[in-house]
Amino acid sequence: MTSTPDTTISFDDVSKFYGEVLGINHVTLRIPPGLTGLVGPNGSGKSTLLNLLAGLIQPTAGEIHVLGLPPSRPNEFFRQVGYCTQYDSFSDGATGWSFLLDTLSLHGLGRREREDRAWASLDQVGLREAAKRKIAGYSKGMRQRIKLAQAICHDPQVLVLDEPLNGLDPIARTEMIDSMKEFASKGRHVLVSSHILHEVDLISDQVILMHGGSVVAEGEIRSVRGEITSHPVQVLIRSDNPHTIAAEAFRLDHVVEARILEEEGTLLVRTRDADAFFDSLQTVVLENNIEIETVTPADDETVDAVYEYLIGPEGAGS
Amino acid sequence: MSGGGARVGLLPQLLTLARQDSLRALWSRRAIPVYLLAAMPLSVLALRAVFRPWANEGGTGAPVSMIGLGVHLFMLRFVVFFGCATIFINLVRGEMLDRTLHYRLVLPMRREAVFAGKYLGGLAAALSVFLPLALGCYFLLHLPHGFDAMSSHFFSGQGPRELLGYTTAILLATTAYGAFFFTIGLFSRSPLVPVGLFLAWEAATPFLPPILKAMTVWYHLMSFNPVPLENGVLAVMADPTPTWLATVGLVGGSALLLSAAAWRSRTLEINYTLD
Ligand SMILES: Nc1ncnc2c1ncn2[C@@H]1O[C@H](COP(=O)(O)OP(=O)(O)OP(=O)(O)O)[C@@H](O)[C@H]1O
Ligand SMILES: [Mg+2]
Repeated sequence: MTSTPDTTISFDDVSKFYGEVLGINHVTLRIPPGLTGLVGPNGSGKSTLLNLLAGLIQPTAGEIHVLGLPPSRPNEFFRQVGYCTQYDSFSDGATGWSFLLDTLSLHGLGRREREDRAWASLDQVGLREAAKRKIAGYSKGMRQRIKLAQAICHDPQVLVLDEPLNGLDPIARTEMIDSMKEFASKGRHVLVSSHILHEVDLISDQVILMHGGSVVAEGEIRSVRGEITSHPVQVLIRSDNPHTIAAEAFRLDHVVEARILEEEGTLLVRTRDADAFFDSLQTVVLENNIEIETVTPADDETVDAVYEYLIGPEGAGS
Repeated sequence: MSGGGARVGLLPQLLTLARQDSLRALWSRRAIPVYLLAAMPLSVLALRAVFRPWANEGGTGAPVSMIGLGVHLFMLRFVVFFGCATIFINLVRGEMLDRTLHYRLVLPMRREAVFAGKYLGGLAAALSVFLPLALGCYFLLHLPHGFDAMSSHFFSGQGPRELLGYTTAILLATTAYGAFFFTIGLFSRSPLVPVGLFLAWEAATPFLPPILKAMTVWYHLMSFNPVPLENGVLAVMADPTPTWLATVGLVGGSALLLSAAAWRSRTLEINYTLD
């Protein structure tokens, strides 16, 4: 062991081409421990970057190291790294429990420790009760959480999550975010991708903005947030009680518009402060016992606003 | 700092993966063709056992052994060949289609070990179908001739010799076909074409010049036939290599294919979007 172990995730001039198609281009990064948000619109190269990091695809050029280890040495690398893809797929017939135990036994743990760790990670994501049920019957949010449990069950130092907040209702989002924060608080890495800037900006220690396969900005983007908050954000909410949510939303002064759409149960809200809105939404949902089906921020507007700010209007939103 | 997990030997990890993958291969909906294939010889022999009790008259001499050989050749050419194609191609390709392969590639195991484990899992799955199936077929074949004929056939030494030949051939066929299809699954996005070509190649064995014959699996498998092939097209094959040489050929060929698979596994990329 060297005296100062490498604690960063590093990309050195990494490029990836899928045949002719550009995945990412000349990316150089040094990511310190903490919660890092990787943000960019669809096709900007987030998954490419994360898959390269996990060794699931090979770089066309450049080098990647995590805590000094290259992904080409999986036997050491994956003791330190836990990974979740954006895909929602599990082997046939798996239960939450068998999914975790299968993984843990491949990590070479004894029976006792396997079971302890499986319960511990189930508790961490709040799935203890559902452990013995088939994953096929889980809700979207539960599937995201069992994937998280699988990624953290071997107690890695680095957690890589591709779109973990996708499709979660507000409560599940908060829980997921809490889990990620807790994980990152112990000097570990959490790298989270999202195409929704305010979603990760709020929780991240640092943000990496991607666009067209390149990193367009990195570091603390909080200063940019002033720009975003003054720019109204649209949120679509599908629930069994849009009227109550609409009524409550109108009472918030940052909400510009709340409109029930033709499509059954869908409410469109425009707000100047998405974070505050999500907080209030959670309260309303809990107090009125409302079933939320989906919450989708109509996000590209926000991301584009930031791009515009960062790289000028020509480069944005292409 | 924890960096979770005990330092564990390679072998237990590999065997754990093999066990998981063999169970998965046997219990998945993708295994249905394997069971249908297996049902073919079984059901034909069961019908024969039920509807031809008079076959008793012939005793258990050459005719029964010839039928046995026919069943065996059918097993090798259809059940084992296509069964292996189904099981071994799906070990990698099936997981690519299901979008679950990445779970295997983010484990603290070298890629070669992951894929060796998968291959072993395939072998275990395939053999746990084929070997009992071969025994079941053999039993059903002799059943209509009565237990006396069966036991005398067995204790005369002919029975064990036949069974040993058949099971050895199935074991080696599974090893070799498995290695071929496993490697195909790693290299090819559309395995149907290579499977078709390989089947044609295997079927052409009797007509190939000696040098090329030695490069088929079929030719080597014929060395284990406990009953000589007597006539017809198959007679061209009536000049087999010694069994030790055939074994070396099949195991060596499989090792060669598997090292290609191991080499490929190091650069294998997860690509779910194109499937
Ligand atoms: N397997 C592949 N083959 C060819 N092109 C690909 C492949 N995977 C990604 N790409 C291309 O690479 C670019 C970056 O894709 P990537 O999936 O990394 O983006 P992303 O930011 O994760 O997008 P999303 O938000 O949709 O998940 C896109 O133009 C995409 O079309
Ligand atoms: Mg993606």
